[in-house]
Amino acid sequence: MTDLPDPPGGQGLRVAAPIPGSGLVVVASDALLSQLDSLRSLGETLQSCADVLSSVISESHSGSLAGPGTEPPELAEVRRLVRATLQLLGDAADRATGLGCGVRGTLARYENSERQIVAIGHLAAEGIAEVLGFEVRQFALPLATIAAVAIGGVLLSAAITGRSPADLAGDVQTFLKVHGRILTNPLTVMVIRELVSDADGFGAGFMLEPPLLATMKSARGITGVSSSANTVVDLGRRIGLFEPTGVTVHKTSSFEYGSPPASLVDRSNSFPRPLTDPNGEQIRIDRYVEPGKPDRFDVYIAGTATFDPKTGDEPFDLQSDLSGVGQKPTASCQAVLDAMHEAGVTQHSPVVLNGYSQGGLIASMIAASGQYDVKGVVTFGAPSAQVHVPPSIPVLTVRNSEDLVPATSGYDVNSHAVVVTRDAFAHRAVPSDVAVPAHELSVYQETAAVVDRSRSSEVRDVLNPLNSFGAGATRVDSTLWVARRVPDLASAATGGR
Amino acid sequence: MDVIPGGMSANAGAVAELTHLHQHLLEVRDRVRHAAGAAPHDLPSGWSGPAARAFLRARDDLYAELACVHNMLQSAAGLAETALWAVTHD
Repeated sequence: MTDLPDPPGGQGLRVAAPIPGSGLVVVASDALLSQLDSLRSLGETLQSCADVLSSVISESHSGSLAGPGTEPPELAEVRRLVRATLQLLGDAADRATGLGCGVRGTLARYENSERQIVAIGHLAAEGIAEVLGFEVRQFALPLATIAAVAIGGVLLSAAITGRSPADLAGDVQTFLKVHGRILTNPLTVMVIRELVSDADGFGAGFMLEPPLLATMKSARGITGVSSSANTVVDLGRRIGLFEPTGVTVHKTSSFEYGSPPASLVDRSNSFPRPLTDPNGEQIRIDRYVEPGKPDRFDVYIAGTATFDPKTGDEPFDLQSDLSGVGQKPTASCQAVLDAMHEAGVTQHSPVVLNGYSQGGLIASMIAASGQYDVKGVVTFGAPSAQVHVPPSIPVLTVRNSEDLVPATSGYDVNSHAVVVTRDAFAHRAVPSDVAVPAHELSVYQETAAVVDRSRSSEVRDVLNPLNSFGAGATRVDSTLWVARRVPDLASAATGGR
Repeated sequence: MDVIPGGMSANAGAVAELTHLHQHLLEVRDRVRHAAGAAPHDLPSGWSGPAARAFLRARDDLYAELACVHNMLQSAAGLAETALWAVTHD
């Protein structure tokens, strides 16, 4: 690994993007990809130079004004030298183009092999989880004894230290905050992604499902992260949590914002903040008006406002998170759809969906529904890996490598998505005032600034159209919307929203 | 001085041709120099191992080849200029 600084561009940015027509995904640093672009461009320039020389030398032969035997010997020598140069120039052009494309292809094949290894590892881990699930069922009694001993140990510790179990839990929380590198760590993220993906295997083993059937169901997507999330919601409902409700949404304010976003930073700055905004708005919709053209819309969807499993009036809650990962209708998603409808978004309106955290999950779900003319999906730290977005819709997925939240949705299923990842805390201290600092919107705004400096064609090809999506608008109308859960027996009966 | 059909002297033809060649050689030389200068000369970061070393080797070979191309274009342009001088002072 080199210790030289990155060349200018998306410093420290890792990009995963498809190679068109190959079915392969290339993963490399933005700096390297932009170098490969430069080499390809160099090859094109050299080829163009070779074409000029070739044309000149060809004219020189066919249209020579000097007759045979009358040509100055120096001219013949110049021609000989030009022909030799032309040969070398053609070789250099081929080499530059080949190097740019070849390295990209090699990287993609390497990534493909690595993904296959990960897939095999995941199969093995799922097998182990199945066995573990089976063993837990078979040896439930001894495990219950172990659990009783563990709980007894906690209570005993509490008695000896004179502190309550809640205090001990608080100690663990404090420990994790002080030792921030435990949670804020790409390795932890990797482990969580694998554990989440193996949960269905554990369940299959526990339910004594034949391994072959469990594998087939998992391969067909019948089980997986989604079914695990749905199981958690179902279990929670049995003890009075995750109560299904209806939802209402209303507009709280409208204003003329000024100009459409021209960068990813602009987009990351446009999310409403339900925890700090006085009205608690979770949705913002910007309408771009341009005479003679249909109105275009940018929809900004905020993240989770509460992690309380007990249902209150906040639809952007843990229930919507879990149901969304389970790809079930959620109150928060319905609220966004209602707000879009009221804001005038029709199925023919060009729209870009932007989401932070749970908002990214909702953005992906709406894009996946196929009900709108979605021109792009931009997500920041979203648990949306398992939502299949149609390949015709450009997807820009922004992640901090130490952020646990995207990992809770397992492995990515959208091979056409451009996924940019940055190590947000690789070279600085992890803050101890928040549990998962890499998931903070402010940290994602820093990452957005790095992505804006990206020079690789993989990132520019998806980012540039987004930056010009609102260009030409003569007016930008912004509206803010707040959603609230309401009792709704009809909805409750269908178990949704 | 020899005269070819059409009325133009052989020398005049050679002068026109050498001038044409000289102009294009200079133009292509400058384009090659500019393109090579704009190409990445720093090391790609975050990539190591045999594949990365092979990439660097191939890239260095390419730049060496470009330097050679540039020198040859320079020589050809110089030769054309010399020939032009010789023909016009013939």
